[in-house]
Amino acid sequence: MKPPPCPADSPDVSDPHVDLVFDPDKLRIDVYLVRGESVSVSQASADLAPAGPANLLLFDGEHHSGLLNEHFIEVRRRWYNPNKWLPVLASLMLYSTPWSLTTFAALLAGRKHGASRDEWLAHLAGDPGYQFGRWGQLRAALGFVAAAARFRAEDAADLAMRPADAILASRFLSGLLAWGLVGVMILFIVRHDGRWGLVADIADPIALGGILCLLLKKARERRGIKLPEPKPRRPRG
Amino acid sequence: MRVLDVIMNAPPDDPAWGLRICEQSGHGAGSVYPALERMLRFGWLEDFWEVPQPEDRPRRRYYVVTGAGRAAYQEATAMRDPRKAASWRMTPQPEGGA
Repeated sequence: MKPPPCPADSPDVSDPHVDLVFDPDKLRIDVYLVRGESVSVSQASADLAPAGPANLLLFDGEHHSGLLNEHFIEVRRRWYNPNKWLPVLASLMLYSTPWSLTTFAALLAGRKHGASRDEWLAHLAGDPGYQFGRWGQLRAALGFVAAAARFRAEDAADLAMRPADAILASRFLSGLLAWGLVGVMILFIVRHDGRWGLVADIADPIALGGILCLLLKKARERRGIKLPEPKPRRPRG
Repeated sequence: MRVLDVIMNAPPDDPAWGLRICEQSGHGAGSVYPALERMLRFGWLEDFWEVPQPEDRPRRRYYVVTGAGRAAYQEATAMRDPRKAASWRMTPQPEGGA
């Protein structure tokens, strides 16, 4: 993405610190701008990245002409070496920031929980009486990822339970399931032991039917499902 | 329960929101937000966004307890208290202690 032109009087928020551990020839500078106007990268920082120009990325994907707030502007230096890929986890630990983790968490949570992103960004911004340290922000962002994973798991469980809920909510389908399984057991006994075998083992299908009825009842209680009242029979005559 | 405690004890003019609930309940964001989501689904909580939107930070999402939430909270508290009392009775009391 081509960075937008920076106005001459735009504030310089780049961090000119040099980390001597990194090879300056392989250093790439990314400026992440979440809220605020265009940001220029100082010459000092640009000199650190002879391999290519600094990337100006808009975190929100749009320009805001609001106040510049240091909480939302971040200059990130990345060690870029296309020949040696760092393990994924190490890369995440090195490169991830609370904001990128929060955006990842919002993506992970899905559209159903789309409002969580704003809520989590407000959480990261802190409170006048309580400001996060860097580690606190990272810990909170990891918590958002965990929360998003739980949202996803719960959504998936809800989706998976829909057919089961449909069976539990229907008297006909519940009966079909229970009687079907009992019928299969009866057929199995008849095929292997004959009719007299069924007479001898009649307790087994009865026990299976009883257990299934109990399980269905417990499952309904657990899922909070109530069966519809049976229709009143028509009076004869 | 602690999450509900925090939300219920928040003053009406300064309702509870994510960071404050995490700080006051002592739980991390990873467990507080799913719990809030679940309580919203059960109808125990209502949420609303901060208006007007502040210029210098993202808007906050506030939570307040509904009538159903209050009833559930009282029920849970009533269930919790006998358990506490029972566990207290199980612990050996010092001799001569009241």
